[in-house]
Amino acid sequence: MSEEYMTKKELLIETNISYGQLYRWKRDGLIPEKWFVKRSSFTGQETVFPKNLILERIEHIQDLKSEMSHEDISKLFAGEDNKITVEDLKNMNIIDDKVLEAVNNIYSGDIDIHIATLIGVMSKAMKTADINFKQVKPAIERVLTRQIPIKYKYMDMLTGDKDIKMHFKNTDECVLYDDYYNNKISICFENIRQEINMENNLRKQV
Amino acid sequence: MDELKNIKISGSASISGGSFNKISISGSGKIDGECSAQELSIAGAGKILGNCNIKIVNISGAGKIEGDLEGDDLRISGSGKILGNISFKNIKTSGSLNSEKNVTCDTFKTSGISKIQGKLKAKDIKVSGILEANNVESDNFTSSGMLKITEMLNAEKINITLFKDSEVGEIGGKDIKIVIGYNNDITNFLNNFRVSKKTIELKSKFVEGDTIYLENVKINEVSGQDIEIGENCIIHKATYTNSIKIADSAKVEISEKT
Repeated sequence: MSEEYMTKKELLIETNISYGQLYRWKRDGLIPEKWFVKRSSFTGQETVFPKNLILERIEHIQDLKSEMSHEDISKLFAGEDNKITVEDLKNMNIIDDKVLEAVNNIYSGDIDIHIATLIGVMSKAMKTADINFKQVKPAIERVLTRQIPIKYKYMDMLTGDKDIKMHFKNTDECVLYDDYYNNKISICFENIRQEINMENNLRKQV
Repeated sequence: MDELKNIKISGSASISGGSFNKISISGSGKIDGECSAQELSIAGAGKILGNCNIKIVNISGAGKIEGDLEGDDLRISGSGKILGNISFKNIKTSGSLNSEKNVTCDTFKTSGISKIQGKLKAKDIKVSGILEANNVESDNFTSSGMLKITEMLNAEKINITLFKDSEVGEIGGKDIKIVIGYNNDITNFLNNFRVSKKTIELKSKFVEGDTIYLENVKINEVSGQDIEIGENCIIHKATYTNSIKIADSAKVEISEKT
């Protein structure tokens, strides 16, 4: 698959950021150095970026920067350019087979760590709350079509007799839910992210 | 905790590594392994063969460290050669610092010669001597010395006062200001009688920033929001998004608004 590239100027115009910001983000580790690709041009040399990756990243940064420090954001992105294949995820035994099947149907190619984490969270919720795949399927579809922002750190899952409810939150705060739901589980994203990252890195070393 | 020992080498000796309170070498000393200490001072010739974690390091003679060096304060007024990575809070050199890998610190001041083969990363950098590096990253960068940066200088605020010919591969930041160091009326006057005119200049391939002010530079491409090109500049291409000012004596081949 040949990747599409865009020049620095195109990027600045399209995202409406300044050179100062771009370089600051680079310094703070929000944009990986290897995305700054040097290419020769008629004026000598120019810097280009992998288009889809950089646009998505800048959108994320702009979303997050009002509520998080650069340091926290860079932690969030750490290890993210480790793409994971569906095959690898299958071998990790973190994610339920049925969930993976659904992933395979919608998503082709490699998965980034955020998506993998969210799928992992869903899978874990399924196991611990003993609910069936049909109930979480809509949520997984939302994950895969990127309707759930990456900024969340925790998820509460409430299961009732007939339906389930998912509540995403940023801090480990307690939320009071009404009695209608008889089971509540809370899942921290970070653990699952680390687990997947670790497994993935191990796999790469072998 | 046991009290740590002080070590003093004033003749010629070699010791094995370990934990110490104070190490001072005034003759010719060698430490044969990893060591940690509160303080290290080298006034003669000192050599450490392993990684070091030392709070305060003072090199006024010749020091060579073959591993990584870590601590709070590093002062070099003699010559220091470090083969591993350097990581300190404050680094001040008035002698020569020679690093084969990366240097990370909060404040970096050099009035001597600093040669860094990897990346120099700091919050504040002040150069009044000579800085040679592959890559430089910092929040504030001030220089009134000579620069030789092969790849990139990336900082929020860049203030360069030129006193010597300098060369920087790329410059990127928010506010960039490059000015000539002294009033060169006399040089200009003398230049009238010379066959080849020689002025001090900074060469670079790219300069990119939000606000840019330039003097005495030779640059391939400049781009930014507000650009002011002062005297004695030779620029191939300038692109701006907001405003541009070009001095009469500056040569700008192409200037475009994007």
